[in-house]
Amino acid sequence: MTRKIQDKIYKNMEEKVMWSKLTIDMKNHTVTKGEMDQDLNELGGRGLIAQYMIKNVPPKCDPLGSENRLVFCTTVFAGTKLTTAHRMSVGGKSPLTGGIKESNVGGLAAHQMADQGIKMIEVLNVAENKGLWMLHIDAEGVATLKDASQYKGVNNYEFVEKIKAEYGDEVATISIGSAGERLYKNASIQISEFKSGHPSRSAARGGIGAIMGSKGLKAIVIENPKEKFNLEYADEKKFTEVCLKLNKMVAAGAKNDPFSIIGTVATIEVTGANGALPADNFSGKLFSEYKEVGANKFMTNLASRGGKNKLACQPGCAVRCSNSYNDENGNYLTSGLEYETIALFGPNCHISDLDAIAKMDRLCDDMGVDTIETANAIAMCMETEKIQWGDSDAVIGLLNELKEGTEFGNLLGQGCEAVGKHLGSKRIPVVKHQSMSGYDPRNTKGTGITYATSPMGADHTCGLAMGRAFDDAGRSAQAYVSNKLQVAMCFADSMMCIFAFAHMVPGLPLLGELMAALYGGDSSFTRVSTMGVKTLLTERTYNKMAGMTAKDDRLPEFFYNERSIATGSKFDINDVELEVLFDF
Amino acid sequence: MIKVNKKEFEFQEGMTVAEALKLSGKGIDQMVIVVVDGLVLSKEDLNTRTVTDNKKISVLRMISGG
Repeated sequence: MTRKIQDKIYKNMEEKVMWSKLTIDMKNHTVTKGEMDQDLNELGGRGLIAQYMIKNVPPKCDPLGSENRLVFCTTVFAGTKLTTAHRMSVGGKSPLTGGIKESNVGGLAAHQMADQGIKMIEVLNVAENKGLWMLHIDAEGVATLKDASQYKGVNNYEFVEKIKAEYGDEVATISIGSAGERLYKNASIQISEFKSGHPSRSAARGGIGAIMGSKGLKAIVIENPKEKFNLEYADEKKFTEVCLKLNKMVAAGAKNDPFSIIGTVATIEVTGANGALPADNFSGKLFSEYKEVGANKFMTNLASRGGKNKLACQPGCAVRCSNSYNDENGNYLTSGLEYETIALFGPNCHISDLDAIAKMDRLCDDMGVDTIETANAIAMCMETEKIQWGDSDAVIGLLNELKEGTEFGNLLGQGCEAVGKHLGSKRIPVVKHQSMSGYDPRNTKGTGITYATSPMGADHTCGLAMGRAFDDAGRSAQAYVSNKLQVAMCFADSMMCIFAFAHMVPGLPLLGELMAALYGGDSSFTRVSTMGVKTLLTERTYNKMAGMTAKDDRLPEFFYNERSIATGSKFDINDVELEVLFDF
Repeated sequence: MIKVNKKEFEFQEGMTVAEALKLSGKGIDQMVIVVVDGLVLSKEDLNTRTVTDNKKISVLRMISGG
């Protein structure tokens, strides 16, 4: 090797650009920018959160205490042109489940983080004196913790407007509303959407917003950097070639994807007809008016009021499932009006008024609460006759109590289980203290297995097995599907949006090649699938160390005892089958 | 011509959506929704709704939950 070539190699090594991480210490109010941890550098999203948590956060710690940490990170493929690679994961020990929590979200923030060269933001400790702070990352990449006491009690929509007025329209925001400040266990973290800037994308599940509130961190504001971070590839040419194939695959799939053509609301058309759509607090009944909250009503309202669908929540998305929903007068009401919100505030509360549901969604995003947890908590109020089934005005009233922080509002903020127990309900649809998403587990049993066994608690992102719901494939097939899907979701949530991932299934081996082209090393798909298995097992280990047992991997009794009126089905997966699910 | 997703078929006067789908070989199950003129057709409507010439029928498969 000539001296000239050797010098060039050394120069390149010196110039090698590494991802950075920001460490925010809320006790001392310091911000430190350093190199990303070597052992986490090739990870991202859910996989990164799992490894970070088991290494850094004591499983038995108080979720709202100083030992818990809040972590924001980008994905394995952040900074690349892989479609939907700019999803952001937020992690910590959940105040709701008491276990590990990773909640991922679209919006602009992860893209802006990647452009800033930041892979992870870790938030340590809690402030010793009461107060609110905001992390500001300016266009030069300088990160500063600023006093945000003027924003105390300011909810997300107003907050974003004020921030945009100060820092410009290109800013990305990560914020909590009054719910996070009040440490509600259903509090979300809201992320601003690409282009519109509305704080309508939610890292919602598990009370992750309460962790942010406990640390006194109101927001993270990220400006568009003057100089964008240049990612270093092991083999950029190969990466571009494989990435293009995968992006084309997603774009082709999206052409016939109901989420792309209509939105996630299209799911109502399927679940409403087959009994998977929950009605009247998972009663097992069919909801005869489901079409009033379905795709046609949604599309008609969009068309007649100047609303839009086919919107991308993050730059470069090929699926574009988001939407902007206007009220009766054509004024913007909410965005990202999604299936889960519609299912749980709608049929599960016996409500068939899509406009009322859109108002509920707006209220939830604004104060910063999880629509799934909140709607289930409200269904508890209906189940126990505190309010009447289908009374949308009463629901709005309760949401305003939640926003105002009245005594009952504070109870609602503790989530579905707390409300159900307080009001004496015997039918509380939770697993690991977290309420179920919009699928009745008796009528999609694979999903029920996922609800029961996922380390995240009952969740809509951990492996919905809806496609196999009515296949007469027996118990083993349902368990098999849940197992495979849970592993797949672990690596998908480490890489990209699962809606785009769904179109990549025929090209899964290419993901191994993509990793090798970016990081070097093994190009086999095993590298990817191993990440999924490792993540899942790490999360389960964390929960075990936090005190969870096999009893936490079960559905509530009423799903075993009550037949679905729609189908006659019970949840009949037995304990042994659930216990061996992860014997890989 | 009738278009079912990307494929084109000869139009026949009075043909129903179900007949057009049969020609295209597209199977209908509970995970599929059928969209004509931007609206979702219920399964019951497929046998009664007739299509006009040059109509596009979209058969969309739900691949994951919302």
